Amino acid sequence: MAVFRRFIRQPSALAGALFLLVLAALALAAPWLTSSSPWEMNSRPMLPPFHDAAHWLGSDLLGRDLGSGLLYGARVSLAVGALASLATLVVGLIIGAIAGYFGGWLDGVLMRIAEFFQIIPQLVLAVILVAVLEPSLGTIVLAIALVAWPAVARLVRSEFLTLRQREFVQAARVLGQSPLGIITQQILPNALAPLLVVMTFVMATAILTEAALAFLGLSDPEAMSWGYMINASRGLLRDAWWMSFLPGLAIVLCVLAVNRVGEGLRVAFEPGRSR
Amino acid sequence: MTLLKVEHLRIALPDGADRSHALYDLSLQLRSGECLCVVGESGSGKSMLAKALLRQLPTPLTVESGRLVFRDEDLVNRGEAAMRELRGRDISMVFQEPMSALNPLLRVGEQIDETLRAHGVKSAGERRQRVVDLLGYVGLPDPERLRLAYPFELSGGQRQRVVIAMALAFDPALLIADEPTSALDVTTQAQILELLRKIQRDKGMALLLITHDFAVVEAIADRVLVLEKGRVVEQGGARQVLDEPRAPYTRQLLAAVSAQPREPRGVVSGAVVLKAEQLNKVFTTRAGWWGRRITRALDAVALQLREGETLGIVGESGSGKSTLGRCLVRLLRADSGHIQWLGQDVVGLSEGRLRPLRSEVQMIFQDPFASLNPRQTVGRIIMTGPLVQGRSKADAEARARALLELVGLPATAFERYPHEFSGGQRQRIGIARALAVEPKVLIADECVSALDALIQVQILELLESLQRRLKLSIVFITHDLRVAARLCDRIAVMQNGRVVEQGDTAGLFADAQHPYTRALLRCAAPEANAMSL
Repeated sequence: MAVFRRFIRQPSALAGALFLLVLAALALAAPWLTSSSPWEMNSRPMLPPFHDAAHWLGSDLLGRDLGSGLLYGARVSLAVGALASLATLVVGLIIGAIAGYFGGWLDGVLMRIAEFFQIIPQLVLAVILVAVLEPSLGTIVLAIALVAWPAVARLVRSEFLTLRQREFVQAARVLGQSPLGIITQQILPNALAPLLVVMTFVMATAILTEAALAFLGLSDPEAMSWGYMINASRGLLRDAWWMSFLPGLAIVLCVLAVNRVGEGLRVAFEPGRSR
Repeated sequence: MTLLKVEHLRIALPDGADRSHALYDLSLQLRSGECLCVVGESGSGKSMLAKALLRQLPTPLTVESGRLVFRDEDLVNRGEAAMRELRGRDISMVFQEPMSALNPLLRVGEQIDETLRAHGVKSAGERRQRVVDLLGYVGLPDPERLRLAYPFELSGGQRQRVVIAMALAFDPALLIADEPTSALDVTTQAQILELLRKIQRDKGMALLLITHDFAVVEAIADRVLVLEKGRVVEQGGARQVLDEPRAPYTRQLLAAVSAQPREPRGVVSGAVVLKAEQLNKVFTTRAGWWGRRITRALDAVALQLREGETLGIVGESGSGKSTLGRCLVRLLRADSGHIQWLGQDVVGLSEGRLRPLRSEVQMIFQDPFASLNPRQTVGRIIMTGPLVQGRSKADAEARARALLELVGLPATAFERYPHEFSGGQRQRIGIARALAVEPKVLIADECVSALDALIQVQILELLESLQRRLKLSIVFITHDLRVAARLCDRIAVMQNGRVVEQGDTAGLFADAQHPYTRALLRCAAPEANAMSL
């Protein structure tokens, strides 16, 4: 509870969290908020914002409603962010926990594998993976998780390495607790705080990576996404700037909000080292 | 001549602290060439006095009222720059932990040089000569070469000598030493105290020594001031306070640290519950690129423990006593040798095969703050053992509640978290956790060394009564011969991984054979003599 109170006492973190909650609610309610599908061409092309009450954020070069596109795009961005960070968490946690707790040759092998993934530029690897496997929500999440897990695994491993030496963990060993019990009941609850903070940053990166992939044309063809919207209108940047600016702004705000929440969590978890 | 006069010093604590002031109305006088020991337990406010004198109180705290008069000048009137001029030149400080008082990345000579330069010694040759002189003066061998050493290359005692040399750079009129020997082994402690005493006599310096340890007072003090929770309870000459303490609190403290060997309980003739033979353990660390440094932590150690008996294992840091404890509970694997728990050999068993046997031998850990999982309630912590040994939840809970009462904690502790308890209470929780699986043998590794003297006595009494009630056998590992003497039937003295002497407590105190045991006894002895007067 003290953590929660310290969290909401930070204006920027609170604003970020509220922004994400509102965005998530809007994204979920998209079918009821807009009358049209984001793909439907239902107005004059390149309509600027605030000119038509029915399409008050304007339209793109094919006459598709931008507001509707942004709402449906939020679905993709948030879904990819949440699912990719969850997948990263699961993989990173299992591998990091095994490497950190058992150590020895197992640790060596797992960390060399992690390094193998870390030496390849992340975006390049993600692009190749998505291009090889058909672009869809599943493959995008898979690609992001595959490039992001080594960082999480390394963090979990270093937390486990230090916590394993603590006296309460040794006491649990002396009591005869099994390795699985020690990992889940003794070590993990104490490693949760830094892990949660890192997860928010993984989520921010995932949203950016998804936007970059969509910008390169590697998005699910069924789903409207912010990166795709920028890609579709980049040729008309001088004539209709709002068509790329609005989705770009959405990406910036969303990633910023996730980052602020992460920063707020970090400060809330370690009150001693706040500023 | 009165050098330092503190009058009615009051330091307020922020709201929400356990009391309103760190110090209430403290007055003292200190003359040149005199040593005043300020004695108190942790939290008594004794360190705040030193910090107030140097105007280095931690941020929310300020001197609320009172005067600090140094050489007839009220220090309050000094500006920050003038205070800096004073620190390190007229008033110097020696800290508790020499490793953190020294910069690990600078050679020790450079660090002393820095002090000299800060106070305006311009000539490099002059500074260098002074550094060598100082290092030689504090009894360090080969100062010309040692000046170029890094702190990590020195032993704890040598580091503390360097810190003292740094404090002496300008022959200060007043030296403040805050627990200068608590981080050191007893034999090193004696040498450092002797050094401080000698310096003080040579230079006619005043020494304000802050300590929790009456052995230090005995060795060095002219006068003593006893603090209890921020209040002065007693002030007087060292002999008077030690021999005829007036305040009941002082009497309690003195009784707590007396080194009376326990009454022999007759021959303990139960079955052997724990036995070790020819135990060896070697640690190898890499030194440089190719070299390897080999430390023999255990060298052919043999011991046995009978039912209901307490065996003390005494030694200084690095003697291998903690490694022995860890090998005995199988947290570490010995390289060779045999360990038997209740007659069963456990050295060769795999971790999985060992787990069901683990309830027989339990451990109590040193640090009451690190040994409890901060994210579990006290109830959960105590229930862990019975649950993993296959008891039902209701059974484990009943057992945990019974144990809370047994170790003297309130029943409400069950739902609370460890951080809500004091060090002594936490150690009781640690004991309850170990007892929850009904062990036959307890291994206590320095389990009272992190506690204040009065709390130590309570925990020792608890262990003793539990032992009598539950017929426990205890291996009690400690660096403190006095503590071992109170509790143990037999004592094994360890040095460099070997048991150099083993015998029943009274016999060992009366007639020690090995020179190392005698050296340890000498360091604990002045106290014993004082008590017997």
